[in-house]
Amino acid sequence: MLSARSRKACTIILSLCAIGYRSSQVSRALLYFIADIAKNHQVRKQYTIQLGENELVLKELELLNENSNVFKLIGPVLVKQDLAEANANVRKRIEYISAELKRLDGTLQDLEDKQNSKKESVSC
Amino acid sequence: MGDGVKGTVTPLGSLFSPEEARKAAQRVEGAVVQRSSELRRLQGFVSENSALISLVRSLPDELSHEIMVPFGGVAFFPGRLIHTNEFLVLLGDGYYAERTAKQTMDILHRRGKAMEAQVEALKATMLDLEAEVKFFNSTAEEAIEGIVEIREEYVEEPEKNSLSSDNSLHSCKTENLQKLDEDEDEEYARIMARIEELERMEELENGNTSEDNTQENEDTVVRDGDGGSKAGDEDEDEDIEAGHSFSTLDHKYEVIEPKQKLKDPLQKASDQKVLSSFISRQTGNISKQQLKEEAFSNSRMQFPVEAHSFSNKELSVGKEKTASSPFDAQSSVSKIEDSPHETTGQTLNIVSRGHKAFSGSIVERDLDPQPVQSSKNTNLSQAFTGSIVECDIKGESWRNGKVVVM
Repeated sequence: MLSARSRKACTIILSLCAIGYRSSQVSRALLYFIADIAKNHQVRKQYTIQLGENELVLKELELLNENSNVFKLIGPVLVKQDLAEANANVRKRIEYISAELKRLDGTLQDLEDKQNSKKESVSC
Repeated sequence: MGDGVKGTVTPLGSLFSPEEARKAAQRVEGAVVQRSSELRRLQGFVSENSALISLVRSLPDELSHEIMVPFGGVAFFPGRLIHTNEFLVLLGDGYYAERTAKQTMDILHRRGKAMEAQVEALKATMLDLEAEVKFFNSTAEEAIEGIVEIREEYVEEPEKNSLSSDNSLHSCKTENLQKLDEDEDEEYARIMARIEELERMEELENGNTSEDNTQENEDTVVRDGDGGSKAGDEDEDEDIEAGHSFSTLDHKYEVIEPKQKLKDPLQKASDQKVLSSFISRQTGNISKQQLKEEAFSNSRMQFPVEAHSFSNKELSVGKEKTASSPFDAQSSVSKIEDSPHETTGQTLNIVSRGHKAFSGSIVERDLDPQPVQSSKNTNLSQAFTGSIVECDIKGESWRNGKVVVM
């Protein structure tokens, strides 16, 4: 039911409650921040791994001869692919993942700023 | 450790509480454990990869292999493996490529290399973390033991007091210095005895021509200049033990060598110098008082003690200003003057030949190194900071020919 990420966010919130956070308005917001940041980290890790893998694939594809057969596994099916097409696909995927990572970085930064400002308002 | 030097004593426990240090150590240890499990996983991959490489290498040996083909989850049936040179290699992210055995091996090799790079990086981070853990633990232990951090102001006092203020500079080493002193006294006595023995032996030997000696000395100079580590010399062996307690082994070596080579009539005088320089070098941190007594007793020509105790470059600065310097200089000057004419004559001779006679032991830091170094072998200056005797003030009188420079 729960995805791994949201499960992780919940565990963080629960553990914080165990430490003794009272469920007041402000601290709940803080908890959400912490959970969001944790989620962000998780997604970013995933994307980073994929990016690494795709870069390796691109390197190997470049080493292939023109007439080599390339196949893509789509579900249970191995589909023959054109080498040029495969190259282009992999490159596009790399670009997409890099863009996603950048976006996530921006979001993470926003979340952290908001968290800090909330912390300051709480301490004041 | 002069009187009236301001200082603060702070117990390490107040700066870093031991419990916190231990907690930090535990946290880092947790990270280390995590990394080590990751490392094990990666190493598993590496071994799998190498097994695969050997399999791929062996498959094309036959046209077809008889195997038991897995069928479903729990069944097998006998079959044959054909097209043994064609492999569909997973490149990553769902992409496969048809390759020959050789090409597959290349791909696997590259993969293995990338993984090993990852393993190395992980090991490096683990080492850093472990170093952190050690540091935290040691800090915790020190805090518990009650080690204190002592900070004292460095007061530049002239002459006599400068030695003590120098010691206060290295406040954390004062205890060590004192222990060193005691150890060095014994070693010093031993060394003195040995030196006298050697001197007697050399005197007995026939004096070769001075050129030979100077040649040898020049050789030693050159060698010393190379930063010589002369483990071979037997003389140095016993000095090595002494040397351990002293700051620079190099200096010690250099001192010994000229002593060995010198067979001159000049030898004695030069030996004295070598001796004194050697002594001074050896004694390094030893108090000047002791040096003075022994050095003067043994040599006709005495260099001021300070001149020699420059084994520590840091200390040399202070020593240059030592109070006893004027006293020592004068006494040494008087000694030289008192010595018989032959000696003086010898000294003069030495001066002229002294540059070659000594491979360089003495070298001390001089506030005014220029005039001295011109006369020195440049090789020496590599090992030694300065040149002749310390005491810039007195330097001139030395250079006038009484002092042997080296």
